[in-house]
Amino acid sequence: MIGADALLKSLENQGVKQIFAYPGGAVLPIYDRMPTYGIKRILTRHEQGAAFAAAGYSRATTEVGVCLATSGPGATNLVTGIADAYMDSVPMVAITGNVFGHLIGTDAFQEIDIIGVCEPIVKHSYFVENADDLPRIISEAFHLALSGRPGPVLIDIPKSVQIEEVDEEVWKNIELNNNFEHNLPGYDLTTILDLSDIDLATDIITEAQRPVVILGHGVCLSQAETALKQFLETTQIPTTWTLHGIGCFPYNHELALGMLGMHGTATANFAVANADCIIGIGIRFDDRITGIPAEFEKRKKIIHLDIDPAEFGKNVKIDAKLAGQINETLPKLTESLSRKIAQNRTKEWREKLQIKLKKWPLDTDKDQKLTEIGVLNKLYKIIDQEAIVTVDVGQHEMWAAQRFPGLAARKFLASGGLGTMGFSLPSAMGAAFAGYETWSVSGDGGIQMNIQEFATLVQDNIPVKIIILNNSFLGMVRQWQELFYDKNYVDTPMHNPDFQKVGEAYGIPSYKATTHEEAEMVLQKMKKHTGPVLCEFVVEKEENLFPMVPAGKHLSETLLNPTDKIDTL
Amino acid sequence: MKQILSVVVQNNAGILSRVASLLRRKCFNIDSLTVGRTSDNTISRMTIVILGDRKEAEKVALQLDKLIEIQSVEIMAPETAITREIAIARLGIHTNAEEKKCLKEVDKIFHTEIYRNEEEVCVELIDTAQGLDHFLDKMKKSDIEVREWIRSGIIAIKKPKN
Repeated sequence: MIGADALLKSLENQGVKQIFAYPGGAVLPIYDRMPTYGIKRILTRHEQGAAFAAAGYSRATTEVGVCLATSGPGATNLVTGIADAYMDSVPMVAITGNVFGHLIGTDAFQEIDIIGVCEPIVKHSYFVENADDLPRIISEAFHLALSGRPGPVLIDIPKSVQIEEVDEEVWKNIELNNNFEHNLPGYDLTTILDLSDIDLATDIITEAQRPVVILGHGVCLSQAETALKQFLETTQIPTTWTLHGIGCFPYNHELALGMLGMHGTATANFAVANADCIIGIGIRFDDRITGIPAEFEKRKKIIHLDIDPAEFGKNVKIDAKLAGQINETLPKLTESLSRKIAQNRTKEWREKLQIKLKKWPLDTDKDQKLTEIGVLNKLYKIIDQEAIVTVDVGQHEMWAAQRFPGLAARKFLASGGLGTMGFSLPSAMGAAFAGYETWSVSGDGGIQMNIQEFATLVQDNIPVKIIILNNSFLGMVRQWQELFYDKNYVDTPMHNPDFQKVGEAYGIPSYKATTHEEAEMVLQKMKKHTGPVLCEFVVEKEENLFPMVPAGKHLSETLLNPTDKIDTL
Repeated sequence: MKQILSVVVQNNAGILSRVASLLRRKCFNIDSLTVGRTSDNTISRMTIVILGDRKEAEKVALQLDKLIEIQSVEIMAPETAITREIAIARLGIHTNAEEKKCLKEVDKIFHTEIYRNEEEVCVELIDTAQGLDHFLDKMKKSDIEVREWIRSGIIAIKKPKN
């Protein structure tokens, strides 16, 4: 048995059901052995597609998605997908082949130092020197990817290691699925839990007049939805969420304020701008929700719960911290508060926010012509309760985030941190393996960044329902050009192909809708269809997205439309 | 203000690059970084000196701790650490009487000559970073021709308790 066997059998032992991969010279020994093992191969049409598909699978299932590529360009094509997984704390294992061991460092054909390239964007990486190390490394990689703050792990395997004979004893242990002892003395998750600020946090929360909870990805990742509900029921604190916090908390709950941030709801932004206490749960206070950190911090106490101690005080000054898994720390805080807090203390604040929620509803679709908001509203009405929706980056992403709050946790998939166009289609491809109705929503710009994956959908009959919102513009950039660059539309108007024809050429049943009636009819057809299906919705060209916090401005300067700001306290 | 971090790392290939890459991408300002083996051959110890306040050092420590191969990071307060650094300097020998006198003075005070030929003498000094600053400064101001000098960056170990 050779290194390739050790790799594949170890992946099987980890429960890997499918890998998203693309062949090439430096992974041929692995491909040669693949049919022997029970792992399904999904042949993507670009390695970036493979990386996003693996991440899409991870995001939708909380299992580890796996992608594989050859050396050199195959490996560098994974980079954007790995970076995306790193920014969004997505557990993923990326495997690359490399040139023969004796050629490493010689600038050989298709040699690249992918370990070096990926250094800033992985949780950890391995350059494998001996085939006998593979079972331990695979086991460590999956443990690292999934535990603590999740993230991508890269394993680079020279071709010589893939064909190297594996020690008989080692192989026997792999076959028996025996544990391989980890060599990770620096990775001790038991030391993270730190509740030393719990009394301080309790005091701050009990004294607060205008507290607000901000929920983030950490709640989803640690599956702390129940702990959260108990916390909010005990404390009665109004709640908003980040892009990745969508689905952690029922959107129609009386404490729910909607999404926060640059394109958050007016009420959520008003609440956070005027709060005297923020409880950040599983968030990292990134610039898209804080605006200007120095302004954000002003006149408020901040309590931060997170698994990653390096996040405390990284972006904003905090007054109390609780380190650990949210489902461990939050119940402790609830318990501590339940003895002290008076629920009716925030009544006035809650009522004030309820008035704002009624005053500032999201834009509805009043347009005669078909708009993106119109299509998304129609889509939201017909999707399964458990459906997965993936989005690209831009206006449609934010409209969907504002309008799809009823999706469950881990069902709204977006490239939040990296903000990658081309994310939607391949991530939907991976997410579809979770087994739920899967919709990919893109603009005419984003879809063309990974349009080659149409072929993958057809080849493996992956049931992704593709929505292309075609406004013939890079809409978000165009909106900025309109508002801040005097409508100087440089390189945002797009000359596009006929997407319906492109879909048909790939063998995907494809539609086009230009009116409200057509849109409704086609969405029904798409819903019923069992394989991949596509529709191009030709929508209004210059629709603008609001609310909006202009870049470099504070949340209190949220614009409701081009001219009106939200109220002051 | 200088802050000393003592970092215990697994003795793996590439760990130096991971640390350096982290310090660069987070824009931390390094004054010196030394790495070497320890009494335990599975680990190495890095002594990283950064420019910044205690808060900055804490941020660096938390970020470093995220690297999987780092076993521990300790911010060393000056009063709890023994620190040493080596400097080596090449000095020109001239017949100038004043300079000869100076060189002799250097020799007498520091006993530091490690190499000599007809033109040059090499001296070494082991001291705290401040001690070396002082010594090099003193030589610069004297009549001695300092042709080149290098410093190792500091290493630090915890002071045994009384």
